[in-house]
Amino acid sequence: MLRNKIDDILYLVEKPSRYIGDEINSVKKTVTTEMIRYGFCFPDVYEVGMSHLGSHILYGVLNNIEDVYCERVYAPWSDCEAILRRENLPLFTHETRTDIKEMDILNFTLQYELSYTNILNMLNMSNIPLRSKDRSEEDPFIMAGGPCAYNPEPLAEIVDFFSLGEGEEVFIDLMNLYREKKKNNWTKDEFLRKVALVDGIYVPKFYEVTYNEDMTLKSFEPISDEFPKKIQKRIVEDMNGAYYPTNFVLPYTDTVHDRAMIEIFRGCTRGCRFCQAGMIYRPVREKSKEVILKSARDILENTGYEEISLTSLSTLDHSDIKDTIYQMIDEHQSQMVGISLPSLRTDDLAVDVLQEIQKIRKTGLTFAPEAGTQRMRDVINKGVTEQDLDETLMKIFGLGWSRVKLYFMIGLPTETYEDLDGINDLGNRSTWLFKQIPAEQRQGTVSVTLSASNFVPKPFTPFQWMAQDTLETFKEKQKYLRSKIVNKKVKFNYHDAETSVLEGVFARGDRRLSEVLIKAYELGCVFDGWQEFFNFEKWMQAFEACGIDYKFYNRERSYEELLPWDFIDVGVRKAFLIRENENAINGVVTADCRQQCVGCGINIDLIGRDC
Amino acid sequence: MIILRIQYKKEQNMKFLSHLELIKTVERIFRRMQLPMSFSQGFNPKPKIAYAAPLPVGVESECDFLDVELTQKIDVDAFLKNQGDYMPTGLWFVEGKYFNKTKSLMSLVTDSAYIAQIEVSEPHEKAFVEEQLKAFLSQDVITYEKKNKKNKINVIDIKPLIQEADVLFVEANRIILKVLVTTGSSGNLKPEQLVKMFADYCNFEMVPGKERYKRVDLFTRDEQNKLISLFEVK
Ligand code: SF4
Repeated sequence: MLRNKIDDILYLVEKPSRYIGDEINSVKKTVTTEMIRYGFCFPDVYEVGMSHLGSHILYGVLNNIEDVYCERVYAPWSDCEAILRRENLPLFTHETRTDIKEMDILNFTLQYELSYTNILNMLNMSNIPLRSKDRSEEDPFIMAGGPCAYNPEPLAEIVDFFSLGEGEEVFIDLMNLYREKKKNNWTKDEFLRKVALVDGIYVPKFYEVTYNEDMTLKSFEPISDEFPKKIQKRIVEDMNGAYYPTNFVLPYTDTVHDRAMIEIFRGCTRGCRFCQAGMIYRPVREKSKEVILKSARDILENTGYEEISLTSLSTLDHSDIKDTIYQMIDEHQSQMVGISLPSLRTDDLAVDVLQEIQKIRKTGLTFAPEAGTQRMRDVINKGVTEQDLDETLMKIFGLGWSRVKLYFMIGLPTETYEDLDGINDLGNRSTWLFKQIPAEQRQGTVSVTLSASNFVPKPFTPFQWMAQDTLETFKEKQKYLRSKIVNKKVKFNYHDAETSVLEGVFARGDRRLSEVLIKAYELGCVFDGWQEFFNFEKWMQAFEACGIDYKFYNRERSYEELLPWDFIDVGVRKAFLIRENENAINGVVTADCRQQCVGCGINIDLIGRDC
Repeated sequence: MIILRIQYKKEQNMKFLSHLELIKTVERIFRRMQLPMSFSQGFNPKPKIAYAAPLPVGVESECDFLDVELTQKIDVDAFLKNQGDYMPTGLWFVEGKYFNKTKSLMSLVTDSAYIAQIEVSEPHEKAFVEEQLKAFLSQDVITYEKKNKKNKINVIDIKPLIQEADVLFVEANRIILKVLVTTGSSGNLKPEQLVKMFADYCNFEMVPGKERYKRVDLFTRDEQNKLISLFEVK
């Protein structure tokens, strides 16, 4: 039996605990033939996949449906993959160790573009054909969702259908339809024709694309009137009433975020112009303090976690955050349960909250000024001033912290070398500030980490038309900063330029990239998000073999150009994005729309009420 | 001080947990059970739980011990009876006993017993393997060479560290041994090492990836140097 064979190979792999399943709170069901078998696939290793909140939510939603069994699937690490292949064993689900080919639906979650080759590899491990058109009636449906699905086109030839947006309702609709399929013996095509009409579902094979001579899109149309021209994302209207798991599956292996995750609101009103999440998850929908506190209690009771992470795009923006945190600390202090916040604002509220949190556990501090100068921060609409940062750091150093991490992006639109100097200046300024604290108040020696990622223009942001820096420019800028940052108390980290450029290609790519993806996979590309595997030369070979110049996808676009994701409606209007792009170029700041609506359109187009 | 000493099993899938993963798992079980644990001071408070003898990944255990420090006594029988709702399959608390003060568990352990199963390339009879084992054990010294950190070669004699060794079962290519070896700070012999040296001695070729180990007992010694259970410590 597959189960026992896998037990045998687990003696041979690194970190076998990531494959054993059987975790606390993992769902056990008796498999029957009537059941809908659903494989929820995360195209990266277990440690990464288990840290992803959305997967836990979906797992709960699906398993709450009685005749659906949702099992988890992760990309095995290379050592395990090699042994599975050598022993002729397929990729298996965690819960029942079943060949993933036996699932009815395999749903891949798309969290980052560089995981796409892993999807192909996972299919291949169970002998499932990579191209949608090559799969038979016996093969599972391949479905995908998650943030990258907002530009689904690079996977159009591979994935049968995409789900856009959030919420449990779409999965309930989907399962109802699949139940019908089973009952009435519909063919795959019959099912796809019906599922294409479900709100928020996109079936690429029912849409046809033509191109201009300059490679840009000429048209993007449904092949028949029966299919919608526009696909609108689905959203959860009421976060308080929405399903939220309290029995999180508890990993044995150390995962990236191994703590109780409590989502406190969805959406963001800050309007940072580079941020895709800030646009696609609009509008802001908060959970009440009571709901959050109850979640915390229930999750701790069911998991035994020793730390709670309050997650959202900008946690301290929750309108009742101070009370919520203070009360939560109060309730769980005796059990030494710590609280962590993903990243901090630079204001007094942050200082207050930190002071309270550190009574239990001291956490690391992360701030995201994103850019080095005020001018650059105005361009990206990041409302952090140098004064804010100064004051916050002074207070925090005064409270005994000595290590901070500051996040930046390089390659932002209109960036100059002066802006890069600004990053170094902020590093120096931080260490200088530390020394201004009286010696008896400060603790330890100061250490500042400047972490610079490379800007990637993303669909549905005001920067979706902007050019991305070339490989050479990124490298020059990184080299420049490396030579500039000489302060011994300041550490400088930066991301690999090649991976960011490739990410940029797929983020704004079109259908033609499906071929490149398959080619790259055939040439051996997998785990592209991992430095130890990433191979840019092979990717270049793949582009060449397909006759595509990757630079086409990193270029600047005009407002008139038809974009591959234009058929998707995320609720935020294109006119708003254009206006924001113009504001960026002119260095004009747009206010946080918690204060006043700035007219992104989501209130009218998607929810039909005020935010 | 209220110390609850617990004997536990780590079997089935749980054998694949590393020691650090086990520590985390047990801490969370205790938290779910709402055990009144004592915590360490400092910026990163941890419950005070100590283990007897960490196992390598892949080794099962029928007999292991941990000490957990509590702020108040709990009813041990109820604790054992109700554990089912909180335990992952393969982990089980067998028995518990209170201590006031104790030497660290780790320093108490002196001997451990294992069952070892190997597969070899040729089939054998039990009598033959027994004969071989007898000859192996009756050598004056049983040595292997080990490089230390400075790349110097040390010769190590494991003979004094083997307390007992028996052939339990032989079926064609499969051999099962039971061994009792010295464990702890005053000498430590891993069963894998012993089995490997025995196989080498007999010219048995072990099938890779087919070795299985299970710890079946853990001991300390009393003043008379007699083996006793970790529950019997004064
Ligand atoms: S509609 Fe107005 S308030 Fe609502 S998210 Fe858009 S800009 Fe903000």
